[in-house]
Amino acid sequence: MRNLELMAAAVVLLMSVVIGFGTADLPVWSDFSPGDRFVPIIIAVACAVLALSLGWEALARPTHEPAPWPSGEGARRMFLLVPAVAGFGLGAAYLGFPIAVFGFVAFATVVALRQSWTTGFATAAVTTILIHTIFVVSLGIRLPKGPLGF
Amino acid sequence: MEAFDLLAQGFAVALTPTGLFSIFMGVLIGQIVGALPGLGPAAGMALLLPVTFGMDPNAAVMMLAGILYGGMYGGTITSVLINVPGESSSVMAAIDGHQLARRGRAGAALAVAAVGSFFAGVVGTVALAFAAVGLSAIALRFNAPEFFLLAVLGIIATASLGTGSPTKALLMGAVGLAIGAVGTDPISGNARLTFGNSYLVDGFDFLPVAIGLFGIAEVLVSLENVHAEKPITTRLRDMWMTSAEWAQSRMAVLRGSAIGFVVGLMPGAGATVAAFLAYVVERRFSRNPEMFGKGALDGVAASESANNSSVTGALAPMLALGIPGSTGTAVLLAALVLQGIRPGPTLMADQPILVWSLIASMFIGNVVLLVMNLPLAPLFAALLRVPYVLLAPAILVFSLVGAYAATMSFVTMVVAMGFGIVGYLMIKADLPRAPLVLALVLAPLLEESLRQSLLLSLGSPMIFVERPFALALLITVIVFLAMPFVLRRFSKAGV
Repeated sequence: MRNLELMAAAVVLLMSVVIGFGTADLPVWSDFSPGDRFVPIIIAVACAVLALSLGWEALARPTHEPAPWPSGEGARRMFLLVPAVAGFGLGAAYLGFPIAVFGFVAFATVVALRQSWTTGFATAAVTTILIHTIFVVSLGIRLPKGPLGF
Repeated sequence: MEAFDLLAQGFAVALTPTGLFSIFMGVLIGQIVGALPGLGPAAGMALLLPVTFGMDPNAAVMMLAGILYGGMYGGTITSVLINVPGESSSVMAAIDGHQLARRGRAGAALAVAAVGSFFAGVVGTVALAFAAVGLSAIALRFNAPEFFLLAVLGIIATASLGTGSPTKALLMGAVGLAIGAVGTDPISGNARLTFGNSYLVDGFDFLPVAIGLFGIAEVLVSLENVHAEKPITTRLRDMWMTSAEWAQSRMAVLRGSAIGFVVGLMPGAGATVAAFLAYVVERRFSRNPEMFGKGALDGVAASESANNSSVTGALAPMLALGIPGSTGTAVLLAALVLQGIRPGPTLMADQPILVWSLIASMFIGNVVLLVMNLPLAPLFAALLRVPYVLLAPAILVFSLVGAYAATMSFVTMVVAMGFGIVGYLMIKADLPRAPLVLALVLAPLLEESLRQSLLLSLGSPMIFVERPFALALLITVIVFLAMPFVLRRFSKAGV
C-alpha cells in the first residue's frame, strides 16, 4: 500500500507542477479582481501540500498493509479485461458498435471469465440486442455502423 | 399552505402515466443495482444518465432519484441471503441479517428491513419537504461569499466525515478541483490548461468521469473475486415478522430513521456512516445487546431504516442550496445541469413543480418498493441466481456506449475508460472517489463565487468574515477541517 500511496503523491505533485507551468501565461490578478490563474494556483498549492502530506504519512507509518492486488485467476482476468476495454473503443470506432459489443462480451465471458462458448455467445447476442434496443430504437441515438453496414 | 398546494401539484405530475412509469423504472433499476455486489446506486445513476437525455426533466429526475433510494432497499437482499452487501451501507444488515437467514428467519430480516426502509423513506420525505423549504428560505439571503464557503464546506465535510484518511480525501478533493479547472475560464472565457488541445476546451464532463470512476472501476474490482455464493431461499409465506419480533424492532426503526435523516443532512457523511451510527446507538438501547453480530433483528431494522432516511436527508442541501452531500446527489445535480436546470437556492422558487413532483414521487416510490420487497422479495432473490460473470461484461459495455451516447464522441468514451482505470487504481490505493466527483461538480460554483466575492470586495478577503452567514460558514469549514486531525490526535493519545 505504501508504494501505491507514494506513487499517488508523486502523480499529484507532478499535476501541481503542470498546473503551475500550464497557466504561466495567464494573469493571477488583473486590476482589482482575481485573474484566470488565481484559482488554478491555489489548487496547485493545495495539491502539492496534500501530496507531500500523503507521502510523509506513508513513509512515517510504522506498519504497512500490502496493496490488495489480485492474484491467480483474478490477476489473469484483469490482464485480459483491461486491454479488452481499450480494444472495445478501437473496435467501436473501426468496426461499428454492434460488432464491437458482441466481440467484447463474447471475449470477456468466454476467454476472460471462462464461461462456455454457448453461454458466452448467447450473452453477447442478448447484450447486443439490448444495447441496440435501448440506445438506437428507444432513444434514437445513431451509433456508428461498421464496414458491413450494421 | 402554499407547500401543500405545491405538493398536490407535484402529485398531479408524479401520478401521470409518464411519472408513474419513470418512478417504477427508477426504483426497479435501483433495486437491481443495489442488489448487485459492486455496483451502487451512484454508479447505476451515472450509467443511466445518458438514457434520460431525451426525457422530460421531471420524469428524468424522478427516475434517477428512484435509483438512489431504491438502491438502499436492494442492498438488503444480497446482504441477508448471500452475506454479500450489495453496497457498503448494507454491511450492518449483512452481519445480523445473514445470521438470521441461517437460522431460518430470512423472511423476518427482509420484512423488517422493508418495513423499516418504507417508514424511513416516507417520514424522511416529509422531513425533506420541511427541511428543503426552511433551508431554501435561508439560502435566498446568500450571495457569492456564502456560496463559495458552502462549496468549500461540501468538499471539506466529505473528507472530514468520511471513514478513511482525511489527507487522502482532501487530496482527492483537490484533484477534483484541478480536473475542474481544465477548459474555459468561467469569467474571462479564455482557454486554460488545454495545452492547445481542442478536446479540452470544454473541460472534463462530469458524466464520463463518474461512469469511469464508479461504473467501470467497480465492475473491474468486483470481477477479481467472483464468488458463486448459493443464496438462502425464502418463501412468500415467511415474509413477515412475529408480533414479538415487531415489538422488538419498532423503536429501532424510529431511532434509525431519525439518526439517518440528520446524518444525511450533513454533507459527506453518507448512508454508510448513518447505518453504522444507528447500529451502534441501537445496541445501547437494545434489550438483547449480546445478540448484535449474531442475528439481532433490531440491528437490521435500525441500520436499514437509517441508510434509507439518510439518502432522503442528503437531498435537502442539494435541492435547497445546490450543494450535493453525497455521490448520489452529485449525480442527480449533474442530471439537473444536463437538463438545462440551474441548481441552487432559487431552484425551489424557479422550478417548484420539478422539486415537488420529485418529493411526491418519493412517497409513491417507497410504496412501490414496499410491494417489491415484501410479496416480491422471493422473485428478486431469484435474480441473484443469474451469475454475475454474465452481467458484468454487459454492464461494462453499457457504461461505454452510454458515455459515447452522451456527446456522440469517442473522446468521451476514452475519458470514461481512462477514469475507469484511474478509479481501479484509486480503489487499490484506498483513495476515496466521492470527494473527487463532488469537487468536480462543485468546481465551477467554487471558482465563480470566489472570484465574484473578491470582485465585490475589491480584492479584500474580509468579505468572508464581515457577513454573518459567511462568518458562520467559515467557522463551520474550519471546524470540519480541523475535526479529523484533532480526533486522530486524541485517539493516539488514548483520550
